[in-house]
Amino acid sequence: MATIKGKWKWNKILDFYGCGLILSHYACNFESNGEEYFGFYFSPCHIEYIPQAFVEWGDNNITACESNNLTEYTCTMKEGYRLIDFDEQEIDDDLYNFIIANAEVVPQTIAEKLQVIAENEQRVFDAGKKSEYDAFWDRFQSNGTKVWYDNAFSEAGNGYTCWEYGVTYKPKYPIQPISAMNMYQITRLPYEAIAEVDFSKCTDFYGTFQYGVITHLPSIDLRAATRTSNIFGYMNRLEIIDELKVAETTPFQNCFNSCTNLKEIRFTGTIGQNGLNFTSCTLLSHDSLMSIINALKNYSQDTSETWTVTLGADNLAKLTDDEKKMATNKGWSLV
Amino acid sequence: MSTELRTISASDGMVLTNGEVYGKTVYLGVNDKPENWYEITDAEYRERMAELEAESLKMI
Repeated sequence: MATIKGKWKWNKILDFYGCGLILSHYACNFESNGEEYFGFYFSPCHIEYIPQAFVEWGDNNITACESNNLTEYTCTMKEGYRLIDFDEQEIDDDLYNFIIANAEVVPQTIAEKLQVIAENEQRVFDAGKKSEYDAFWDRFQSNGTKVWYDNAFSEAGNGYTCWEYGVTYKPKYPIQPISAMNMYQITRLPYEAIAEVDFSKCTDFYGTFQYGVITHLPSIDLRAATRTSNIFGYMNRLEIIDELKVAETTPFQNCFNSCTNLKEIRFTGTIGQNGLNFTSCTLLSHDSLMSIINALKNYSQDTSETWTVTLGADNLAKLTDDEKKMATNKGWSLV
Repeated sequence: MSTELRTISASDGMVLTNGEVYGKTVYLGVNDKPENWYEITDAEYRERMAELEAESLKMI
Protein backbone atom coordinates (compact mmCIF):
# COMPACT_ATOMS: atom_id res chain seq x y z
CA MET A 1 0.00 0.00 0.00
CA ALA A 2 1.36 3.33 -0.95
CA THR A 3 1.29 5.41 2.17
CA ILE A 4 0.80 9.14 2.39
CA LYS A 5 2.19 10.69 5.50
CA GLY A 6 1.92 14.16 6.87
CA LYS A 7 -0.72 16.56 7.93
CA TRP A 8 -3.80 16.68 5.78
CA LYS A 9 -5.44 20.00 5.35
CA TRP A 10 -8.98 20.13 4.09
CA ASN A 11 -9.30 23.27 2.09
CA LYS A 12 -11.95 22.58 -0.48
CA ILE A 13 -15.04 20.56 0.06
CA LEU A 14 -17.50 20.23 -2.76
CA ASP A 15 -20.72 18.33 -3.18
CA PHE A 16 -21.24 16.06 -6.04
CA TYR A 17 -23.59 13.34 -6.97
CA GLY A 18 -24.07 10.29 -9.13
CA CYS A 19 -20.95 8.37 -8.31
CA GLY A 20 -21.76 4.82 -9.24
CA LEU A 21 -23.12 3.09 -6.19
CA ILE A 22 -22.41 6.09 -4.10
CA LEU A 23 -25.32 8.47 -3.95
CA SER A 24 -23.40 11.51 -2.90
CA HIS A 25 -20.00 12.33 -1.68
CA TYR A 26 -17.45 15.05 -1.17
CA ALA A 27 -14.29 15.88 -2.92
CA CYS A 28 -11.44 17.71 -1.34
CA ASN A 29 -7.90 18.72 -1.84
CA PHE A 30 -5.52 17.57 0.77
CA GLU A 31 -1.96 18.36 1.43
CA SER A 32 0.81 15.92 2.09
CA ASN A 33 4.46 16.67 2.43
CA GLY A 34 3.90 20.10 0.97
CA GLU A 35 2.11 18.90 -2.15
CA GLU A 36 -1.57 19.04 -2.91
CA TYR A 37 -3.57 16.00 -3.88
CA PHE A 38 -7.14 15.46 -4.82
CA GLY A 39 -9.06 13.03 -2.67
CA PHE A 40 -12.52 11.96 -1.69
CA TYR A 41 -14.65 11.06 1.18
CA PHE A 42 -18.23 10.41 0.56
CA SER A 43 -21.64 9.23 1.54
CA PRO A 44 -24.01 7.30 1.73
CA CYS A 45 -23.05 8.27 5.21
CA HIS A 46 -21.57 11.69 5.66
CA ILE A 47 -17.98 10.80 6.34
CA GLU A 48 -17.92 7.21 7.40
CA TYR A 49 -16.86 5.89 4.05
CA ILE A 50 -13.71 6.61 2.26
CA PRO A 51 -12.55 5.24 -1.05
CA GLN A 52 -9.30 3.48 -1.48
CA ALA A 53 -8.15 6.48 -3.44
CA PHE A 54 -8.15 8.46 -0.27
CA VAL A 55 -5.21 6.52 1.06
CA GLU A 56 -3.90 5.02 -2.13
CA TRP A 57 -4.18 7.62 -4.80
CA GLY A 58 -3.48 6.33 -8.27
CA ASP A 59 -4.20 2.74 -7.41
CA ASN A 60 -7.07 2.55 -9.85
CA ASN A 61 -9.73 2.67 -7.20
CA ILE A 62 -11.37 5.56 -8.95
CA THR A 63 -11.85 4.22 -12.41
CA ALA A 64 -13.29 7.39 -13.88
CA CYS A 65 -13.60 10.91 -12.59
CA GLU A 66 -14.29 14.09 -14.43
CA SER A 67 -15.53 17.53 -13.54
CA ASN A 68 -17.85 19.71 -15.54
CA ASN A 69 -17.57 22.67 -13.22
CA LEU A 70 -16.48 23.49 -9.73
CA THR A 71 -19.32 21.72 -8.01
CA GLU A 72 -20.29 18.74 -10.11
CA TYR A 73 -18.36 15.61 -10.73
CA THR A 74 -19.11 12.21 -12.14
CA CYS A 75 -17.10 9.41 -10.72
CA THR A 76 -17.02 5.65 -10.75
CA MET A 77 -15.17 3.83 -8.08
CA LYS A 78 -14.66 0.55 -6.34
CA GLU A 79 -15.63 -0.39 -2.82
CA GLY A 80 -15.33 2.09 -0.04
CA TYR A 81 -13.58 1.69 3.24
CA ARG A 82 -15.20 2.07 6.56
CA LEU A 83 -13.86 4.63 8.97
CA ILE A 84 -14.83 5.15 12.55
CA ASP A 85 -15.36 8.48 14.27
CA PHE A 86 -13.83 10.41 11.49
CA ASP A 87 -15.46 13.79 11.54
CA GLU A 88 -12.69 16.33 11.72
CA GLN A 89 -11.83 18.71 8.96
CA GLU A 90 -8.20 18.72 9.82
CA ILE A 91 -6.38 15.67 11.07
CA ASP A 92 -3.04 15.22 12.65
CA ASP A 93 -0.63 12.32 12.30
CA ASP A 94 -2.14 10.36 15.18
CA LEU A 95 -5.62 10.51 13.71
CA TYR A 96 -4.25 9.73 10.30
CA ASN A 97 -2.59 6.59 11.64
CA PHE A 98 -5.82 5.69 13.38
CA ILE A 99 -7.65 6.01 10.09
CA ILE A 100 -5.17 3.82 8.30
CA ALA A 101 -5.26 1.20 11.04
CA ASN A 102 -9.04 1.03 11.04
CA ALA A 103 -9.66 1.15 7.34
CA GLU A 104 -11.41 -1.97 6.21
CA VAL A 105 -13.68 -3.03 3.43
CA VAL A 106 -17.24 -3.20 4.64
CA PRO A 107 -19.61 -4.39 2.00
CA GLN A 108 -23.09 -3.07 2.65
CA THR A 109 -26.48 -3.99 1.46
CA ILE A 110 -28.61 -1.38 -0.24
CA ALA A 111 -30.86 -1.33 2.83
CA GLU A 112 -27.90 -0.64 5.08
CA LYS A 113 -26.74 2.13 2.84
CA LEU A 114 -30.16 3.70 2.74
CA GLN A 115 -30.32 3.56 6.52
CA VAL A 116 -27.02 5.32 6.83
CA ILE A 117 -28.17 7.92 4.33
CA ALA A 118 -31.27 8.58 6.39
CA GLU A 119 -29.28 8.84 9.60
CA ASN A 120 -26.86 11.33 8.15
CA GLU A 121 -29.05 13.36 5.86
CA GLN A 122 -28.97 16.50 7.99
CA ARG A 123 -25.21 16.33 8.49
CA VAL A 124 -24.71 15.94 4.78
CA PHE A 125 -27.04 18.86 4.10
CA ASP A 126 -25.28 21.05 6.68
CA ALA A 127 -21.88 20.13 5.34
CA GLY A 128 -23.06 20.96 1.85
CA LYS A 129 -24.33 24.35 2.98
CA LYS A 130 -21.06 25.07 4.70
CA SER A 131 -19.11 24.04 1.66
CA GLU A 132 -21.23 26.37 -0.47
CA TYR A 133 -20.65 29.21 2.00
CA ASP A 134 -16.93 28.61 2.10
CA ALA A 135 -16.62 28.24 -1.65
CA PHE A 136 -18.47 31.50 -2.28
CA TRP A 137 -16.79 33.70 0.31
CA ASP A 138 -13.34 32.23 -0.33
CA ARG A 139 -13.82 33.26 -3.93
CA PHE A 140 -15.52 36.59 -3.23
CA GLN A 141 -13.04 37.67 -0.57
CA SER A 142 -10.01 36.12 -2.27
CA ASN A 143 -9.38 33.83 0.68
CA GLY A 144 -9.26 36.83 2.97
CA THR A 145 -6.95 39.00 0.88
CA LYS A 146 -9.61 41.16 -0.83
CA VAL A 147 -9.08 44.90 -0.37
CA TRP A 148 -10.84 46.32 -3.46
CA TYR A 149 -14.48 46.55 -2.48
CA ASP A 150 -15.64 49.01 -5.15
CA ASN A 151 -19.39 48.51 -5.66
CA ALA A 152 -19.12 45.28 -3.66
CA PHE A 153 -22.37 45.53 -1.70
CA SER A 154 -24.15 48.17 -3.70
CA GLU A 155 -27.91 48.21 -2.99
CA ALA A 156 -27.48 45.61 -0.27
CA GLY A 157 -30.61 44.81 1.67
CA ASN A 158 -33.04 46.66 -0.54
CA GLY A 159 -34.58 43.58 -2.08
CA TYR A 160 -33.18 44.15 -5.54
CA THR A 161 -29.90 42.40 -4.95
CA CYS A 162 -28.87 39.13 -3.38
CA TRP A 163 -27.42 40.74 -0.26
CA GLU A 164 -29.51 40.19 2.84
CA TYR A 165 -27.87 40.71 6.20
CA GLY A 166 -27.34 37.46 8.10
CA VAL A 167 -28.64 35.39 5.21
CA THR A 168 -26.46 36.03 2.19
CA TYR A 169 -24.46 38.93 3.62
CA LYS A 170 -22.29 36.90 5.98
CA PRO A 171 -18.66 37.71 5.12
CA LYS A 172 -16.28 34.94 6.10
CA TYR A 173 -13.25 37.18 6.51
CA PRO A 174 -12.85 40.63 8.08
CA ILE A 175 -13.63 43.40 5.62
CA GLN A 176 -10.66 45.76 5.43
CA PRO A 177 -10.98 47.74 2.21
CA ILE A 178 -8.36 49.94 0.64
CA SER A 179 -10.87 51.12 -1.92
CA ALA A 180 -14.55 51.44 -0.99
CA MET A 181 -15.91 53.34 -3.96
CA ASN A 182 -19.73 53.00 -3.93
CA MET A 183 -19.22 50.03 -1.65
CA TYR A 184 -22.46 50.46 0.29
CA GLN A 185 -24.33 52.87 -1.95
CA ILE A 186 -28.12 52.67 -1.70
CA THR A 187 -27.70 50.28 1.18
CA ARG A 188 -30.27 49.20 3.73
CA LEU A 189 -27.85 47.06 5.67
CA PRO A 190 -28.11 47.56 9.43
CA TYR A 191 -25.76 49.50 11.65
CA GLU A 192 -24.09 46.26 12.77
CA ALA A 193 -23.04 45.36 9.26
CA ILE A 194 -21.17 48.62 8.76
CA ALA A 195 -19.72 48.53 12.28
CA GLU A 196 -17.90 45.33 11.37
CA VAL A 197 -15.91 47.00 8.60
CA ASP A 198 -12.38 48.25 9.25
CA PHE A 199 -11.85 51.36 7.12
CA SER A 200 -8.57 52.33 8.76
CA LYS A 201 -6.53 51.61 5.61
CA CYS A 202 -9.11 52.79 3.11
CA THR A 203 -8.10 55.60 0.78
CA ASP A 204 -11.01 55.87 -1.67
CA PHE A 205 -14.39 56.68 -0.16
CA TYR A 206 -16.04 57.96 -3.33
CA GLY A 207 -19.79 57.47 -2.83
CA THR A 208 -19.22 54.77 -0.23
CA PHE A 209 -22.62 55.23 1.42
CA GLN A 210 -24.32 57.58 -1.03
CA TYR A 211 -28.10 57.26 -1.32
CA GLY A 212 -28.02 54.85 1.60
CA VAL A 213 -31.44 54.31 3.14
CA ILE A 214 -30.31 54.08 6.73
CA THR A 215 -30.56 56.37 9.72
CA HIS A 216 -27.53 55.54 11.81
CA LEU A 217 -23.90 54.97 10.92
CA PRO A 218 -21.20 53.77 13.30
CA SER A 219 -17.69 55.14 13.61
CA ILE A 220 -16.04 55.56 10.21
CA ASP A 221 -12.28 55.90 9.99
CA LEU A 222 -11.31 58.46 7.32
CA ARG A 223 -7.73 58.99 8.44
CA ALA A 224 -6.22 57.29 5.39
CA ALA A 225 -8.69 58.84 2.95
CA THR A 226 -7.49 60.58 -0.18
CA ARG A 227 -10.95 60.94 -1.70
CA THR A 228 -14.30 61.35 0.04
CA SER A 229 -16.56 62.77 -2.67
CA ASN A 230 -20.20 61.98 -1.95
CA ILE A 231 -19.31 59.54 0.78
CA PHE A 232 -22.61 60.32 2.53
CA GLY A 233 -24.22 62.12 -0.38
CA TYR A 234 -28.01 62.11 -0.64
CA MET A 235 -28.55 60.07 2.52
CA ASN A 236 -31.60 62.07 3.39
CA ARG A 237 -32.69 59.62 6.12
CA LEU A 238 -29.36 59.63 7.89
CA GLU A 239 -29.69 61.09 11.40
CA ILE A 240 -26.60 60.01 13.30
CA ILE A 241 -22.95 59.35 12.51
CA ASP A 242 -21.40 58.09 15.72
CA GLU A 243 -17.90 59.24 14.86
CA LEU A 244 -15.76 60.39 11.98
CA LYS A 245 -12.11 59.74 12.64
CA VAL A 246 -10.16 62.28 10.60
CA ALA A 247 -6.57 63.32 10.06
CA GLU A 248 -5.15 66.65 8.92
CA THR A 249 -4.87 65.16 5.44
CA THR A 250 -8.43 63.90 5.22
CA PRO A 251 -10.11 65.67 2.30
CA PHE A 252 -13.75 66.73 2.33
CA GLN A 253 -15.46 66.91 -1.04
CA ASN A 254 -19.25 67.11 -1.18
CA CYS A 255 -19.40 64.71 1.72
CA PHE A 256 -22.76 65.75 3.13
CA ASN A 257 -24.81 66.77 0.09
CA SER A 258 -28.53 66.49 0.89
CA CYS A 259 -28.00 64.96 4.33
CA THR A 260 -31.05 66.91 5.36
CA ASN A 261 -31.87 64.86 8.47
CA LEU A 262 -28.40 64.63 9.94
CA LYS A 263 -28.62 65.67 13.58
CA GLU A 264 -25.63 64.17 15.33
CA ILE A 265 -22.05 63.79 14.21
CA ARG A 266 -18.83 63.69 16.16
CA PHE A 267 -15.38 64.36 14.81
CA THR A 268 -12.26 62.96 16.43
CA GLY A 269 -8.81 63.90 15.22
CA THR A 270 -7.98 67.07 13.33
CA ILE A 271 -9.80 68.74 10.47
CA GLY A 272 -7.07 70.27 8.35
CA GLN A 273 -8.53 70.51 4.86
CA ASN A 274 -11.01 72.82 3.16
CA GLY A 275 -14.27 71.58 1.73
CA LEU A 276 -16.48 70.73 4.69
CA ASN A 277 -19.99 71.87 3.84
CA PHE A 278 -22.97 71.34 6.12
CA THR A 279 -25.38 73.70 4.37
CA SER A 280 -27.84 70.85 3.77
CA CYS A 281 -27.61 69.66 7.36
CA THR A 282 -29.81 72.29 8.96
CA LEU A 283 -30.79 70.00 11.87
CA LEU A 284 -27.30 69.58 13.26
CA SER A 285 -27.19 69.78 17.03
CA HIS A 286 -25.16 72.37 18.90
CA ASP A 287 -22.89 69.57 20.21
CA SER A 288 -22.27 68.42 16.67
CA LEU A 289 -21.32 71.94 15.58
CA MET A 290 -18.96 72.29 18.52
CA SER A 291 -17.43 68.93 17.67
CA ILE A 292 -16.61 70.34 14.23
CA ILE A 293 -15.21 73.58 15.61
CA ASN A 294 -13.14 71.81 18.25
CA ALA A 295 -11.57 69.55 15.63
CA LEU A 296 -10.43 72.42 13.37
CA LYS A 297 -6.68 72.67 13.08
CA ASN A 298 -5.15 75.85 14.43
CA TYR A 299 -4.01 77.79 11.36
CA SER A 300 -3.74 81.12 13.17
CA GLN A 301 -0.05 81.32 12.29
CA ASP A 302 -0.55 80.19 8.69
CA THR A 303 -1.21 82.98 6.19
CA SER A 304 -0.44 80.92 3.10
CA GLU A 305 -4.01 79.89 2.42
CA THR A 306 -7.60 80.77 3.28
CA TRP A 307 -9.32 78.15 5.38
CA THR A 308 -13.09 77.86 5.36
CA VAL A 309 -15.75 75.59 6.73
CA THR A 310 -19.32 76.00 5.54
CA LEU A 311 -21.90 75.45 8.25
CA GLY A 312 -24.75 77.34 6.59
CA ALA A 313 -26.87 80.14 7.98
CA ASP A 314 -29.16 77.82 10.00
CA ASN A 315 -26.26 76.26 11.85
CA LEU A 316 -24.37 79.51 12.33
CA ALA A 317 -27.44 80.89 14.07
CA LYS A 318 -27.07 78.15 16.75
CA LEU A 319 -23.62 79.40 17.76
CA THR A 320 -22.75 82.31 19.99
CA ASP A 321 -20.22 84.85 18.87
CA ASP A 322 -17.72 83.39 21.33
CA GLU A 323 -18.21 79.96 19.81
CA LYS A 324 -17.78 81.34 16.30
CA LYS A 325 -14.60 83.05 17.46
CA MET A 326 -13.19 79.70 18.52
CA ALA A 327 -13.11 78.87 14.80
CA THR A 328 -12.09 82.25 13.42
CA ASN A 329 -9.29 82.57 15.96
CA LYS A 330 -7.90 79.31 14.63
CA GLY A 331 -7.77 80.88 11.18
CA TRP A 332 -10.98 79.42 9.77
CA SER A 333 -13.61 81.56 8.09
CA LEU A 334 -17.14 80.39 8.82
CA VAL A 335 -19.68 80.55 6.04
CA MET B 1 -4.33 87.11 18.02
CA SER B 2 -7.50 88.98 17.11
CA THR B 3 -10.53 88.29 19.22
CA GLU B 4 -12.75 90.54 17.17
CA LEU B 5 -15.42 88.76 15.20
CA ARG B 6 -15.30 90.27 11.74
CA THR B 7 -18.26 89.73 9.47
CA ILE B 8 -19.05 90.54 5.88
CA SER B 9 -22.50 90.16 4.37
CA ALA B 10 -23.77 89.99 0.81
CA SER B 11 -26.07 92.63 -0.62
CA ASP B 12 -29.69 91.75 -1.37
CA GLY B 13 -29.92 89.34 -4.30
CA MET B 14 -26.20 88.58 -4.08
CA VAL B 15 -24.03 85.79 -2.65
CA LEU B 16 -20.49 86.04 -1.33
CA THR B 17 -17.81 83.69 -2.63
CA ASN B 18 -14.07 83.31 -2.56
CA GLY B 19 -14.29 81.11 -5.63
CA GLU B 20 -14.59 77.95 -3.55
CA VAL B 21 -17.39 78.39 -1.06
CA TYR B 22 -20.59 80.44 -1.07
CA GLY B 23 -22.70 82.15 1.55
CA LYS B 24 -24.70 85.22 2.49
CA THR B 25 -22.58 85.94 5.55
CA VAL B 26 -18.93 85.20 6.21
CA TYR B 27 -17.27 85.27 9.63
CA LEU B 28 -13.68 85.96 8.67
CA GLY B 29 -10.82 83.92 10.04
CA VAL B 30 -8.02 85.85 11.71
CA ASN B 31 -5.91 85.74 8.55
CA ASP B 32 -8.72 86.15 6.04
CA LYS B 33 -9.45 89.50 4.37
CA PRO B 34 -12.66 90.98 3.01
CA GLU B 35 -10.95 91.53 -0.34
CA ASN B 36 -10.66 87.75 -0.72
CA TRP B 37 -14.44 87.70 -1.16
CA TYR B 38 -16.65 89.03 -3.92
CA GLU B 39 -20.32 89.02 -4.80
CA ILE B 40 -22.17 87.09 -7.46
CA THR B 41 -25.89 87.21 -8.17
CA ASP B 42 -28.33 84.64 -6.80
CA ALA B 43 -28.87 83.38 -10.36
CA GLU B 44 -25.15 82.90 -10.87
CA TYR B 45 -24.99 81.11 -7.54
CA ARG B 46 -27.78 78.70 -8.50
CA GLU B 47 -26.14 78.04 -11.84
CA ARG B 48 -22.83 77.32 -10.16
CA MET B 49 -24.46 74.99 -7.62
CA ALA B 50 -26.15 73.05 -10.41
CA GLU B 51 -22.80 72.67 -12.15
CA LEU B 52 -21.13 71.47 -8.98
CA GLU B 53 -23.87 68.96 -8.29
CA ALA B 54 -23.66 67.61 -11.81
CA GLU B 55 -19.91 67.25 -11.42
CA SER B 56 -20.25 65.48 -8.11
CA LEU B 57 -22.69 62.96 -9.56
CA LYS B 58 -20.48 62.00 -12.43
CA MET B 59 -19.55 58.36 -12.12
CA ILE B 60 -15.94 57.57 -12.69
